[in-house]
Amino acid sequence: MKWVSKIRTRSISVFVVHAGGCRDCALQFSMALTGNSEVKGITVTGNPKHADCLLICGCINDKSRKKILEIYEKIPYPKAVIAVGACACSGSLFRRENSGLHTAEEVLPVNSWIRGCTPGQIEIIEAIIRAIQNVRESDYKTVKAGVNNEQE
Amino acid sequence: MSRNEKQGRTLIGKLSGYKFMGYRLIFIKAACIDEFIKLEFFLEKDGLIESVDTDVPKNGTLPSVAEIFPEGVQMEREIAGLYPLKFIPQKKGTYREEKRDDLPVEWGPFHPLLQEPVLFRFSVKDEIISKVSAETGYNHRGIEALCIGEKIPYVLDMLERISSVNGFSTGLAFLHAVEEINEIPVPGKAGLLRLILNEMSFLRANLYSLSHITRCLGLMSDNSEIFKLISLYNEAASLISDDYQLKGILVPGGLKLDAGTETLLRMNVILQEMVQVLSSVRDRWNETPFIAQRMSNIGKIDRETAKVMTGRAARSAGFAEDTRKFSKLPYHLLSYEVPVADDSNCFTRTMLMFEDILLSLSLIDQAIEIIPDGDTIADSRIRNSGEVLVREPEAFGELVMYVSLDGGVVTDIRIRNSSSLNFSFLSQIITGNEINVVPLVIASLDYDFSGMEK
Repeated sequence: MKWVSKIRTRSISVFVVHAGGCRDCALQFSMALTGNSEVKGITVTGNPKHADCLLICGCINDKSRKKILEIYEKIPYPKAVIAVGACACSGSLFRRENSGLHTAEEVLPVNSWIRGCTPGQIEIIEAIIRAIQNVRESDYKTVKAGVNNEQE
Repeated sequence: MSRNEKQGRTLIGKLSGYKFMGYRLIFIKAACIDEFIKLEFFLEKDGLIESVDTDVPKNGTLPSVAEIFPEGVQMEREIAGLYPLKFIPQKKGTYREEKRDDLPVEWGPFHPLLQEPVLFRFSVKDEIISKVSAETGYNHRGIEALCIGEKIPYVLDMLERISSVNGFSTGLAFLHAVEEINEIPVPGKAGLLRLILNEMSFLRANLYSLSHITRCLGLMSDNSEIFKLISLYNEAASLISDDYQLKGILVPGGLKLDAGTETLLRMNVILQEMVQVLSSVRDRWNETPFIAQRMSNIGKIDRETAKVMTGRAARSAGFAEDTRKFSKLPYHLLSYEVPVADDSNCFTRTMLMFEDILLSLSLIDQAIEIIPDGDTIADSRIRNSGEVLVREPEAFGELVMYVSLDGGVVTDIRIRNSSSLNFSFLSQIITGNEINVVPLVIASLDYDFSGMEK
């Protein structure tokens, strides 16, 4: 990690969206946070305006799609979207033609995918950290590029 | 009077008669046949099931049974969402306009203190909830429709993923229905192994519910204590399966698992470590006045309402509802007593949660002691056609499932879990409470929305 990114590092706030699914991905995530004393600096928030990262678990139906888009708009930049589990990544067994279910990628620009039913706890934590690092890095670069252009 | 109105009145008359005789509604089945929607009401009293059926033309109306059986409200909502049929309330409701000084508050559908998505709309006056409406549907995947026309293994895979906490029980209930239709015998060892796995799934579900309550109470040290117990469960489950939800083990006629006695004993030793920790947490909660005071006065359910509910909501009001009694699993070989309490409120329901976990651990211990040697899978040939209604226990109450088979293909499946019954009373229970206790009340009511919305 570059020194600039290190300076800008702070704890990560995650907004968890549990769309249609069995909720095991969300349980694994809470288990990873609470059951593991080594994990520090990741918190769950109930307010999208305080969030850095949107964690989507489960298949997305038309009803939850609208709410997810509303939430995404409220999250400030830089923001990352992570699709957790087979349901969010590909729709799993439930997604068929005209079934009215969407994958996370169809609804939002996804930064990281964690496949599997059910994904492991460590994989979820790693994906959050990597996605946030990548997003902040690229965001810093774009901001820097914008400033340089203005100066020129 | 039109034919439709006559039919409606006859139906209400029949159902009122059953209500008078002490029956309760357990299931409403609906099917669309040609231009008609056929409805079948299943009523139960002391294990005896009666059914009342009626036909309604498409886009027709039918009087709502909510006045007679309030537990049917959610089932009616589901049917009205699936078929072109409207349920008309019998009594013209006195529409109460929202008072101007009531504050509208929206909560949800996604929130850290909500385990699953629901949108609540509260009307609040002086922090007290005067009116509440709950909007569901954010979890709907159309599983019942997806199962129709599919083969048994595929349906089983899907049902095991219906809910993380009750998926195993749902899959097991489906298998029991398949085995009953095809008259497949299950070996003794497989029956007891299934019972052990079913109790393990209850254990996991109740531990997660307990962890949620500790989070709502703000007892973070107890929360991490409960998560350590969940880790202990995971360690025990990993001895017999790669998946903590115990997916992929069930097959018609037995199990895809042959755990030896040594493995089961090792698993039992790990699980029984929970008893001491849970007992100490329970005793500490009982002795701490702050916890009892905070939880005793909220989420109260009167006896009349609790009588028609299922699971801990009913048992905490003194009704010893034994959901294991009607199961096809060999529970009759084990000795157990259903835990009950006197007054249904948040505190008693939480204390029952501890008792239920300890009961599951005791049943696992007893079952491992008497497990016989032998095969865990029988020869199963699925040829028969037929339909059956099964009643099985799940972690939070009773699960009722209707299955219709044609050879190896599922032609119809309807699932009613405990939340479909208990959800009808949510607004009634929450009204009158302070808005800050709502997460705690919902956590103590054990709703499994992913199983309810399917």
